[in-house]
Amino acid sequence: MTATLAVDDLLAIAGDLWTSYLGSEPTPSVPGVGKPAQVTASVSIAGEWDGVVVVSLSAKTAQDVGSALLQLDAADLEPGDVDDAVGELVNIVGGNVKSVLPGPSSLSLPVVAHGTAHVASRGAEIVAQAALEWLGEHVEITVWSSTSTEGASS
Amino acid sequence: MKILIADDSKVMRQIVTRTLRQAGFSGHDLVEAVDGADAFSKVQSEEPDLVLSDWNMPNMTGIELLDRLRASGSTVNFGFVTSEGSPEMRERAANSGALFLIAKPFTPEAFREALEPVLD
Repeated sequence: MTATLAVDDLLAIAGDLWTSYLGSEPTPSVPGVGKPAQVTASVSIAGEWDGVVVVSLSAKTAQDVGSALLQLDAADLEPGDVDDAVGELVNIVGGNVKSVLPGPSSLSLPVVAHGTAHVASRGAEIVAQAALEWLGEHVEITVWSSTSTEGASS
Repeated sequence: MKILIADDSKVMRQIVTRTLRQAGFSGHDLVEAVDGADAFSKVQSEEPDLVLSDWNMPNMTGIELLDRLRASGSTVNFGFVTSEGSPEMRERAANSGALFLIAKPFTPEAFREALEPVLD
């Protein structure tokens, strides 16, 4: 089944998410211009459509996300809070992306990695990628499709 | 009234707690569960009036929790708070006996609309 997912879909999902929980709306940016990601969070979608949704961001932005979601100063965050917050961020992005794509399918629990996670390009291709600027930092959302399913970018 | 919040994310349990307050539902007794299995146990021990459950959790998912509660004879009021709000998910939730499904990201207004018939 053909999947249609546009960059605007990702920007709309991110806009709702940031406005609802993070206190300020991000501005659209250009993918690939930021520094290498220091934190990478992902969820997998499996079923009628197979792929991975990845949110990559700087360590500072990850901490800002933790502070904003928990409404705590960075110094008051407990171990695990930042990973929990970033995991919830990608869970919400992934759930909303899943709702746009053909179903039925299931969403995995989030995985948060420190460093730049690489998706093997031999078995996957990017179907949509959006970049955001938030609090002066670069955030990227990338949706990879397994090459066994069809995908269409914007 | 007593509300059980089931979510494997501490961050999301806090956001749900905050949103309940912002929606005007202060003063209720709140209990937390860290996954579906914990929630099943706490429905028995805490006897909440309402369960607000995530869908995607380790050990027991939210829909497995709801199905197991109904199979055990529990008629506790149950609603989902989940990142997945597709028509298929909403139908599956309703078929299992959920009163509502609130999709993340949510607003206090969405909470008010869904919870008022249950809590007032």
